[in-house]
Amino acid sequence: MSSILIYGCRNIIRDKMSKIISLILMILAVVSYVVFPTAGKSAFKSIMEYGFKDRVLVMEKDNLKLAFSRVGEDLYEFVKTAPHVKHIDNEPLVSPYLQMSSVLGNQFLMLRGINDIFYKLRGKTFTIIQGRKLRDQYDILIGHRVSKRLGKPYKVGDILPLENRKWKIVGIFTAKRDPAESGALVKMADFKEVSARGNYSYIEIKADNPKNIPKLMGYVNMAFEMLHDEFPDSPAIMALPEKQYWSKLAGMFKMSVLVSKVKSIVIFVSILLFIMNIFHSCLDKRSPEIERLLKGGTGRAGLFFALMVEVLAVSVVAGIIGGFIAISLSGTAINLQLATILLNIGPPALVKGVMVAVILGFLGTIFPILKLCFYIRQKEPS
Amino acid sequence: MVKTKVLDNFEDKGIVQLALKTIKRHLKFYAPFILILLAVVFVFTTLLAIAVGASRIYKQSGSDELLAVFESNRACVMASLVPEEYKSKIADLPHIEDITGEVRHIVVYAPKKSLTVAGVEPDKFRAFKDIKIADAEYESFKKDPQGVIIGKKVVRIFNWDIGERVSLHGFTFTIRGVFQLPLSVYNGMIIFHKEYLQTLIKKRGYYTAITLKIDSPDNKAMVSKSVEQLFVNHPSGISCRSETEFWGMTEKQMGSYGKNMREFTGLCALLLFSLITNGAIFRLKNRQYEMGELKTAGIGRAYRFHRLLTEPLIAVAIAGISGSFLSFIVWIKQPTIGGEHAILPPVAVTPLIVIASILIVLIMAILSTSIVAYIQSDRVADR
Repeated sequence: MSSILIYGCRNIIRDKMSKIISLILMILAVVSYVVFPTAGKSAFKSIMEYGFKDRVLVMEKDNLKLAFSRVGEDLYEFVKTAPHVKHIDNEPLVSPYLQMSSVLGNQFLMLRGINDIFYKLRGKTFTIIQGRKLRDQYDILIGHRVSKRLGKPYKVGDILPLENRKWKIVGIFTAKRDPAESGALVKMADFKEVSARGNYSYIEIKADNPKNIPKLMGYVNMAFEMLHDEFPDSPAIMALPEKQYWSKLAGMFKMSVLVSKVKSIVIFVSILLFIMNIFHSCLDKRSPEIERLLKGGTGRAGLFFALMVEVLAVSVVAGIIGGFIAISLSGTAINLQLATILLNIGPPALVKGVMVAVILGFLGTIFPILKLCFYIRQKEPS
Repeated sequence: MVKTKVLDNFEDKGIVQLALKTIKRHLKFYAPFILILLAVVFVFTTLLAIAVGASRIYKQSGSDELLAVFESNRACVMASLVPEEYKSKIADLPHIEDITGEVRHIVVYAPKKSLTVAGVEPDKFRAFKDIKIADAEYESFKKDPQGVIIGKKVVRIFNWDIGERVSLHGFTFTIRGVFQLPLSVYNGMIIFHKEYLQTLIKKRGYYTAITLKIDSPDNKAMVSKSVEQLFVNHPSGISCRSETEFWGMTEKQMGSYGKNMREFTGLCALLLFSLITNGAIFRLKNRQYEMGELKTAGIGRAYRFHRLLTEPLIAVAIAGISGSFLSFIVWIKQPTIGGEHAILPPVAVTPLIVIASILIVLIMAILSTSIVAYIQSDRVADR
């Protein structure tokens, strides 16, 4: 048994060219199989995680995106009086926003106009990690992912040209569960002025308790429906749980998840075909040697085992290298129109990589190995 | 010299005949190979048609002769708001022959199903967009302020009849006619009177974009510049570009569908390339004996190369041509897959797409097979 094992191990370094090409192809397959679906899933998962369970959004009915929605300023005053709205220092936690994507070179940057109540509403989930709050005209706070999104490092004090104005970066922030992390915040009055918009895009309400969300929404929606019935010319407005909005939006990324899966499968199949061909030629060349071994009394099962060890060794090495490369890509920024998300590939990628490489190696070699070990006829001595 | 079967064939037949004979002899390999390739070429041609359509549908919705005026710095053109009074100011500029404005809105009429509606000036719309519609239908649309004309694709989605009073998501209107354009997003739109749509979507006094007809294409740059200068004080800026460019921007902003289709087409091409290359490697790798015999007989490498190249190339050509034509026949009625999305292009496998698909397949085959054939043509086995 040990001699068969030695034979298998020795053969790994024989026929170096085919083994190296197979190794590279396997690494490629592993990296694509781990990275592509993870990118699609990360985008989907990140969007699903946006929003808070105790928040309600007030926006234009059946609108595709918050940025397309328009809500009148008077409605903001009404919403503040709704029951089950959380208060801090007698101030209702209701924040209006004006949101639009703006063009910066070849990139889109989400701009959101805010009022001071925003900081209170977000509480600890919003932190300015560098600099200060918005104070002066054309001050801008940028999310900590903006530099990655725009591919250029921005720091406090830099000037950002947007909407035909020069904005001074006064701070960099993190905002949990909010795509604003890859966008920017400006003062509502400034944004209204530069965008020539008189309305808000949407309103965020913090409920006193997540359990009271249905009651809060019921009240607001009933009032909006009555208002719309009374004044058909007024816009149709609705309130919906924030989580529901983001899960709806995440649904639009299902196609991207599918594309990334198909991408990895196609690459896997293409590489499998090449590996099948390489190993077929490689093993074909060794048929006289195998014949000799069989004649010399080596068992077919032992030979099969030795050849499989060869393939397995190459596959495991490829899986580990591929897994490490995939892990090293963790943290890479993926720019969606909506936000910038970071690729999150953890240590389980190593296990996944080894599994993919072993499957690839097994499928690519099993037929020629079976043929060689079990269907080769020993020539009768003449 | 001992005459063998290989050399007999060399003297009697041409390379193509020999290749055909070999294909026939190895039908056990070539039949499934050609069938698999045919299926992949069919899918590739279909995807290519959708990808090309997705990219052309936006650009063809506009005209290179027209200029579009819209709000700058907006990531999505749907967010553009151009005040109506700008139209009369632009009309006074030199080189402007005609001018119109259009307001657009997206209606989400069911979960994950959306539709674009546009409000136009009925007196001008037909002059700017070369739509095919019965004169009587267009006249009846012009007379009814709450009347609409709908694109051919809208009819397919909703099955509305002319004269029908419809209520869609709070929008009430009467169908006055059905129009068609060769390849345009307008085919999936509902066209309203501008005033009525502005009221419905609460955008009174605003257009999404203004469209200009100018006296000569040579004046395009000059007119663009003077329009942009005229509204230099507009808060976020005003852009004036060719209408094709404007729709091209829309594709970039709205076009994840087009991007996905292009990626699928690329992946299918990769699969095709891999199948062809591996097929060629599989068939040509064990021909050392045959090559050796030819070399011994003094036959040059060029002949040996051509002999090896022709065989897989013919197989790929059969699969490529049949697969592309099959796609042409299957999609001859140019249906739309995923018809509930109004902006999707039809699967238009035109003769040009068929030719492009065949050429791509053949180029891939020549590239991959020639490398394999070149290497194998010099690999000879000792007798």
